[in-house]
Amino acid sequence: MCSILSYSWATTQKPDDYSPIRCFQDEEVWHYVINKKLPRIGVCQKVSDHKLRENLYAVKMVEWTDAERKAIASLWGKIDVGEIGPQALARLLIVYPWAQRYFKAFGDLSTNAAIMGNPKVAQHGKTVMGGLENAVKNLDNIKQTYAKLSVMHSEKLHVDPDNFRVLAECISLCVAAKFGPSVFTADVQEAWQKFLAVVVSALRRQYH
Amino acid sequence: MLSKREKDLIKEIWERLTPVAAEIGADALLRMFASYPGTKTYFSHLDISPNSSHLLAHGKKIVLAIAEGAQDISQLTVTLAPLQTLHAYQLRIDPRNFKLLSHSMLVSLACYLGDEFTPVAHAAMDKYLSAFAAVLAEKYR
Repeated sequence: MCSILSYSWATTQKPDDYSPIRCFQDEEVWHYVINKKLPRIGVCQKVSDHKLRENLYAVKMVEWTDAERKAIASLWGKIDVGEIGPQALARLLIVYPWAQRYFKAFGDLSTNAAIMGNPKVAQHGKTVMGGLENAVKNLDNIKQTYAKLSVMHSEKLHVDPDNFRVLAECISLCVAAKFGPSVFTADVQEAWQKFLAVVVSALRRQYH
Repeated sequence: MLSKREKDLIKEIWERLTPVAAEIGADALLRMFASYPGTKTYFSHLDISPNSSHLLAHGKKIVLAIAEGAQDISQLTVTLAPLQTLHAYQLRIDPRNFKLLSHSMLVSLACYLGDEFTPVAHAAMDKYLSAFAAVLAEKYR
Protein backbone atom coordinates (compact mmCIF):
# COMPACT_ATOMS: atom_id res chain seq x y z
CA MET A 1 0.00 0.00 0.00
CA CYS A 2 1.18 3.51 -0.70
CA SER A 3 2.82 4.87 2.39
CA ILE A 4 1.57 8.42 1.99
CA LEU A 5 -2.11 7.56 1.95
CA SER A 6 -4.35 5.89 4.43
CA TYR A 7 -7.80 4.73 3.54
CA SER A 8 -11.15 4.51 5.12
CA TRP A 9 -13.11 2.33 2.78
CA ALA A 10 -16.30 3.95 1.73
CA THR A 11 -18.78 2.65 -0.81
CA THR A 12 -18.45 0.98 -4.16
CA GLN A 13 -20.55 3.73 -5.69
CA LYS A 14 -18.53 6.27 -7.65
CA PRO A 15 -18.64 9.65 -5.88
CA ASP A 16 -19.73 12.74 -7.83
CA ASP A 17 -16.45 14.59 -7.58
CA TYR A 18 -14.32 11.80 -8.97
CA SER A 19 -12.20 12.61 -11.98
CA PRO A 20 -8.77 11.15 -12.69
CA ILE A 21 -5.90 13.58 -13.04
CA ARG A 22 -3.00 11.22 -12.96
CA CYS A 23 -2.34 7.65 -11.97
CA PHE A 24 0.68 5.81 -10.75
CA GLN A 25 1.44 2.29 -9.76
CA ASP A 26 2.63 1.40 -6.33
CA GLU A 27 3.23 -2.31 -5.89
CA GLU A 28 -0.11 -4.01 -6.34
CA VAL A 29 -2.24 -0.92 -6.14
CA TRP A 30 -3.18 1.56 -8.85
CA HIS A 31 -4.16 4.99 -7.62
CA TYR A 32 -5.96 7.85 -9.29
CA VAL A 33 -5.08 10.87 -7.26
CA ILE A 34 -7.41 13.82 -7.45
CA ASN A 35 -6.15 17.39 -7.11
CA LYS A 36 -2.46 17.39 -7.76
CA LYS A 37 -1.69 18.52 -4.22
CA LEU A 38 -1.40 15.98 -1.43
CA PRO A 39 -4.93 15.43 -0.23
CA ARG A 40 -5.81 16.83 3.13
CA ILE A 41 -9.56 17.06 2.99
CA GLY A 42 -11.83 14.22 1.96
CA VAL A 43 -10.25 13.55 -1.42
CA CYS A 44 -11.68 10.66 -3.41
CA GLN A 45 -9.40 8.03 -4.74
CA LYS A 46 -10.32 5.14 -6.92
CA VAL A 47 -8.32 2.11 -5.96
CA SER A 48 -7.97 -1.05 -7.96
CA ASP A 49 -6.68 -3.79 -5.78
CA HIS A 50 -5.44 -6.46 -8.10
CA LYS A 51 -5.80 -9.06 -5.46
CA LEU A 52 -9.50 -8.36 -4.99
CA ARG A 53 -10.07 -7.60 -8.70
CA GLU A 54 -12.73 -5.15 -7.78
CA ASN A 55 -12.91 -1.36 -7.80
CA LEU A 56 -13.37 0.18 -4.43
CA TYR A 57 -13.76 3.89 -3.82
CA ALA A 58 -11.90 5.10 -0.82
CA VAL A 59 -12.35 8.47 0.78
CA LYS A 60 -9.32 9.79 2.58
CA MET A 61 -10.36 11.56 5.72
CA VAL A 62 -8.59 14.37 7.48
CA GLU A 63 -6.37 12.78 10.09
CA TRP A 64 -6.45 14.05 13.62
CA THR A 65 -3.93 13.00 16.22
CA ASP A 66 -5.19 12.28 19.72
CA ALA A 67 -3.40 15.38 20.93
CA GLU A 68 -5.19 17.51 18.34
CA ARG A 69 -8.61 16.07 19.20
CA LYS A 70 -7.96 16.72 22.87
CA ALA A 71 -6.73 20.26 22.27
CA ILE A 72 -9.73 21.17 20.13
CA ALA A 73 -12.25 19.67 22.57
CA SER A 74 -10.59 21.31 25.55
CA LEU A 75 -10.42 24.72 23.93
CA TRP A 76 -14.00 24.48 22.68
CA GLY A 77 -15.13 23.64 26.20
CA LYS A 78 -13.74 26.94 27.42
CA ILE A 79 -15.11 29.11 24.61
CA ASP A 80 -18.27 31.13 25.19
CA VAL A 81 -19.76 31.45 21.70
CA GLY A 82 -21.82 34.43 22.80
CA GLU A 83 -18.63 36.25 23.68
CA ILE A 84 -16.05 35.18 21.11
CA GLY A 85 -18.45 35.08 18.15
CA PRO A 86 -19.54 38.72 18.30
CA GLN A 87 -15.95 39.83 18.97
CA ALA A 88 -14.60 37.93 15.99
CA LEU A 89 -17.23 39.20 13.57
CA ALA A 90 -16.82 42.76 14.82
CA ARG A 91 -13.09 42.49 14.28
CA LEU A 92 -13.63 41.21 10.75
CA LEU A 93 -15.75 44.26 9.96
CA ILE A 94 -13.33 46.68 11.62
CA VAL A 95 -9.98 45.28 10.49
CA TYR A 96 -11.20 44.34 6.98
CA PRO A 97 -13.86 46.97 6.33
CA TRP A 98 -14.53 45.76 2.79
CA ALA A 99 -16.23 42.76 4.39
CA GLN A 100 -19.04 45.13 5.37
CA ARG A 101 -20.38 44.78 1.84
CA TYR A 102 -22.20 41.62 2.91
CA PHE A 103 -23.93 43.22 5.85
CA LYS A 104 -25.79 46.17 4.38
CA ALA A 105 -28.94 45.02 6.13
CA PHE A 106 -27.30 45.16 9.53
CA GLY A 107 -27.79 48.88 10.07
CA ASP A 108 -25.14 51.21 11.41
CA LEU A 109 -21.59 50.01 10.70
CA SER A 110 -20.16 53.48 10.21
CA THR A 111 -17.79 53.56 13.19
CA ASN A 112 -15.93 50.99 15.27
CA ALA A 113 -18.18 51.78 18.21
CA ALA A 114 -21.26 51.30 16.03
CA ILE A 115 -19.97 47.91 14.85
CA MET A 116 -19.07 46.74 18.33
CA GLY A 117 -22.45 47.81 19.68
CA ASN A 118 -24.50 46.55 16.76
CA PRO A 119 -26.93 43.87 17.97
CA LYS A 120 -27.24 42.23 14.52
CA VAL A 121 -23.47 41.86 14.33
CA ALA A 122 -23.49 40.31 17.79
CA GLN A 123 -26.31 37.93 16.93
CA HIS A 124 -24.73 36.84 13.67
CA GLY A 125 -21.34 36.40 15.33
CA LYS A 126 -22.95 34.14 17.89
CA THR A 127 -24.71 32.15 15.14
CA VAL A 128 -21.50 31.63 13.16
CA MET A 129 -19.49 30.65 16.21
CA GLY A 130 -22.27 28.37 17.40
CA GLY A 131 -22.17 26.68 14.02
CA LEU A 132 -18.67 25.46 14.82
CA GLU A 133 -20.23 23.21 17.45
CA ASN A 134 -21.32 20.86 14.68
CA ALA A 135 -17.79 20.68 13.39
CA VAL A 136 -16.31 20.02 16.82
CA LYS A 137 -18.79 17.18 17.33
CA ASN A 138 -18.14 15.80 13.82
CA LEU A 139 -14.40 16.15 13.39
CA ASP A 140 -14.29 13.19 11.05
CA ASN A 141 -16.98 14.45 8.72
CA ILE A 142 -16.72 18.20 8.56
CA LYS A 143 -16.98 18.23 4.77
CA GLN A 144 -20.47 16.74 4.87
CA THR A 145 -21.54 18.78 7.88
CA TYR A 146 -20.95 22.04 6.05
CA ALA A 147 -22.08 21.02 2.54
CA LYS A 148 -25.42 22.85 2.68
CA LEU A 149 -23.91 25.96 4.23
CA SER A 150 -21.29 25.99 1.53
CA VAL A 151 -23.93 25.94 -1.20
CA MET A 152 -25.82 28.71 0.57
CA HIS A 153 -22.79 30.99 0.94
CA SER A 154 -21.89 30.46 -2.68
CA GLU A 155 -25.18 30.50 -4.53
CA LYS A 156 -27.41 32.59 -2.32
CA LEU A 157 -25.15 34.94 -0.38
CA HIS A 158 -22.33 35.23 -2.96
CA VAL A 159 -19.65 35.57 -0.31
CA ASP A 160 -16.02 35.67 -1.49
CA PRO A 161 -14.64 32.53 0.17
CA ASP A 162 -11.46 34.33 1.16
CA ASN A 163 -13.53 35.92 3.90
CA PHE A 164 -13.88 32.55 5.63
CA ARG A 165 -10.12 32.33 6.08
CA VAL A 166 -9.91 35.88 7.34
CA LEU A 167 -12.78 35.37 9.80
CA ALA A 168 -11.06 32.22 11.02
CA GLU A 169 -7.94 34.31 11.72
CA CYS A 170 -10.04 36.82 13.67
CA ILE A 171 -11.57 33.98 15.71
CA SER A 172 -8.09 32.66 16.55
CA LEU A 173 -6.95 36.10 17.63
CA CYS A 174 -9.98 36.61 19.88
CA VAL A 175 -9.35 33.21 21.44
CA ALA A 176 -5.67 34.08 21.92
CA ALA A 177 -6.50 37.40 23.56
CA LYS A 178 -9.07 35.77 25.81
CA PHE A 179 -7.06 32.79 27.03
CA GLY A 180 -3.44 33.94 26.87
CA PRO A 181 -0.25 32.00 26.15
CA SER A 182 -0.57 29.33 28.86
CA VAL A 183 -3.83 27.98 27.39
CA PHE A 184 -3.39 28.98 23.75
CA THR A 185 0.04 27.42 23.35
CA ALA A 186 1.76 26.91 19.99
CA ASP A 187 0.49 23.31 19.85
CA VAL A 188 -3.07 24.22 20.79
CA GLN A 189 -2.93 26.99 18.19
CA GLU A 190 -1.78 24.49 15.56
CA ALA A 191 -4.66 22.12 16.30
CA TRP A 192 -7.23 24.93 16.45
CA GLN A 193 -6.03 26.53 13.21
CA LYS A 194 -6.00 23.14 11.48
CA PHE A 195 -9.57 22.64 12.66
CA LEU A 196 -10.66 26.04 11.35
CA ALA A 197 -8.81 25.40 8.08
CA VAL A 198 -10.82 22.21 7.59
CA VAL A 199 -14.05 24.11 8.24
CA VAL A 200 -13.01 26.86 5.84
CA SER A 201 -12.14 24.27 3.22
CA ALA A 202 -15.53 22.60 3.65
CA LEU A 203 -17.24 25.95 3.21
CA ARG A 204 -15.25 26.61 0.05
CA ARG A 205 -15.98 23.23 -1.39
CA GLN A 206 -19.28 23.91 -3.12
CA TYR A 207 -18.08 27.00 -4.94
CA HIS A 208 -18.00 26.45 -8.67
CA MET B 1 -3.40 53.81 5.27
CA LEU B 2 -2.29 54.42 8.81
CA SER B 3 -3.73 57.39 10.67
CA LYS B 4 -1.58 59.43 13.02
CA ARG B 5 -3.42 57.91 15.97
CA GLU B 6 -2.65 54.41 14.69
CA LYS B 7 1.02 55.23 14.13
CA ASP B 8 1.29 56.56 17.69
CA LEU B 9 -0.43 53.46 19.05
CA ILE B 10 1.88 51.13 17.10
CA LYS B 11 4.98 53.05 18.22
CA GLU B 12 3.85 52.98 21.83
CA ILE B 13 3.09 49.24 21.85
CA TRP B 14 6.42 48.23 20.29
CA GLU B 15 8.35 50.55 22.62
CA ARG B 16 6.72 48.79 25.52
CA LEU B 17 7.55 45.37 24.11
CA THR B 18 11.22 46.09 23.42
CA PRO B 19 12.39 44.80 26.84
CA VAL B 20 10.71 41.42 26.13
CA ALA B 21 11.70 41.35 22.47
CA ALA B 22 13.38 37.93 22.72
CA GLU B 23 10.36 36.30 24.39
CA ILE B 24 7.78 37.75 22.01
CA GLY B 25 9.93 37.01 18.96
CA ALA B 26 10.70 33.46 20.02
CA ASP B 27 7.02 32.86 20.81
CA ALA B 28 5.94 34.11 17.40
CA LEU B 29 8.54 31.98 15.64
CA LEU B 30 7.56 28.86 17.60
CA ARG B 31 3.91 29.40 16.74
CA MET B 32 4.78 29.84 13.10
CA PHE B 33 6.89 26.66 13.05
CA ALA B 34 4.10 24.67 14.73
CA SER B 35 1.28 25.89 12.48
CA TYR B 36 3.20 26.20 9.23
CA PRO B 37 5.90 23.53 9.21
CA GLY B 38 7.15 24.62 5.77
CA THR B 39 8.63 27.70 7.39
CA LYS B 40 11.10 25.55 9.29
CA THR B 41 12.96 24.87 6.07
CA TYR B 42 14.63 28.26 6.34
CA PHE B 43 16.12 27.45 9.73
CA SER B 44 17.97 24.21 9.21
CA HIS B 45 21.16 25.95 10.31
CA LEU B 46 19.76 26.91 13.72
CA ASP B 47 18.49 25.12 16.80
CA ILE B 48 14.83 26.16 16.86
CA SER B 49 13.68 24.07 19.78
CA PRO B 50 11.73 25.96 22.47
CA ASN B 51 13.94 28.14 24.69
CA SER B 52 17.05 27.56 22.60
CA SER B 53 19.48 30.45 22.58
CA HIS B 54 19.31 30.55 18.78
CA LEU B 55 15.55 30.93 18.85
CA LEU B 56 15.62 33.70 21.44
CA ALA B 57 18.40 35.57 19.66
CA HIS B 58 16.63 35.34 16.32
CA GLY B 59 13.27 36.29 17.76
CA LYS B 60 14.87 39.29 19.42
CA LYS B 61 16.46 40.40 16.13
CA ILE B 62 13.13 40.29 14.34
CA VAL B 63 11.14 42.11 17.03
CA LEU B 64 13.78 44.82 17.41
CA ALA B 65 13.69 45.42 13.65
CA ILE B 66 9.89 45.70 13.75
CA ALA B 67 10.11 48.03 16.76
CA GLU B 68 12.71 50.18 15.03
CA GLY B 69 10.49 50.53 11.97
CA ALA B 70 7.63 51.56 14.25
CA GLN B 71 9.61 54.54 15.52
CA ASP B 72 9.02 56.38 12.26
CA ILE B 73 6.67 54.49 9.97
CA SER B 74 6.82 57.12 7.25
CA GLN B 75 10.52 56.31 6.86
CA LEU B 76 10.05 52.56 6.57
CA THR B 77 11.77 52.26 3.18
CA VAL B 78 14.85 54.08 4.48
CA THR B 79 14.99 52.19 7.79
CA LEU B 80 14.57 48.80 6.14
CA ALA B 81 16.96 49.32 3.21
CA PRO B 82 19.70 47.03 4.57
CA LEU B 83 17.16 44.34 5.52
CA GLN B 84 15.56 44.62 2.08
CA THR B 85 18.90 43.80 0.48
CA LEU B 86 19.55 40.98 2.93
CA HIS B 87 16.22 39.30 2.29
CA ALA B 88 16.23 39.82 -1.48
CA TYR B 89 19.74 38.73 -2.33
CA GLN B 90 20.94 36.58 0.52
CA LEU B 91 18.13 35.04 2.53
CA ARG B 92 15.62 34.87 -0.34
CA ILE B 93 12.77 33.82 1.90
CA ASP B 94 9.63 33.45 -0.19
CA PRO B 95 7.66 36.60 0.71
CA ARG B 96 4.48 34.57 1.10
CA ASN B 97 6.00 33.48 4.40
CA PHE B 98 5.95 37.04 5.71
CA LYS B 99 2.17 36.76 6.05
CA LEU B 100 2.58 33.61 8.12
CA LEU B 101 4.99 35.27 10.52
CA SER B 102 2.77 38.37 10.67
CA HIS B 103 -0.20 36.25 11.71
CA SER B 104 1.88 34.39 14.27
CA MET B 105 3.16 37.70 15.59
CA LEU B 106 -0.42 38.95 15.95
CA VAL B 107 -1.30 35.82 17.92
CA SER B 108 1.66 36.39 20.24
CA LEU B 109 0.60 39.99 20.70
CA ALA B 110 -2.99 38.93 21.38
CA CYS B 111 -1.82 36.41 23.97
CA TYR B 112 0.40 38.87 25.80
CA LEU B 113 -1.73 41.98 25.50
CA GLY B 114 -5.08 40.29 26.18
CA ASP B 115 -7.79 42.92 26.54
CA GLU B 116 -5.40 45.58 25.35
CA PHE B 117 -5.37 43.93 21.96
CA THR B 118 -8.46 45.88 21.03
CA PRO B 119 -9.94 45.81 17.52
CA VAL B 120 -8.30 49.20 16.92
CA ALA B 121 -4.90 47.93 18.01
CA HIS B 122 -5.46 44.76 15.95
CA ALA B 123 -6.30 46.74 12.82
CA ALA B 124 -3.36 49.09 13.27
CA MET B 125 -0.92 46.25 13.91
CA ASP B 126 -2.20 44.22 10.97
CA LYS B 127 -1.78 47.20 8.67
CA TYR B 128 1.69 47.96 9.99
CA LEU B 129 2.95 44.39 9.66
CA SER B 130 1.52 44.21 6.12
CA ALA B 131 3.33 47.41 5.21
CA PHE B 132 6.53 46.15 6.83
CA ALA B 133 6.35 42.91 4.85
CA ALA B 134 5.63 44.74 1.61
CA VAL B 135 8.64 47.04 2.05
CA LEU B 136 10.83 44.07 2.97
CA ALA B 137 9.92 42.36 -0.29
CA GLU B 138 10.44 45.41 -2.51
CA LYS B 139 13.88 44.48 -3.80
CA TYR B 140 12.97 40.88 -4.63
CA ARG B 141 12.15 41.71 -8.24
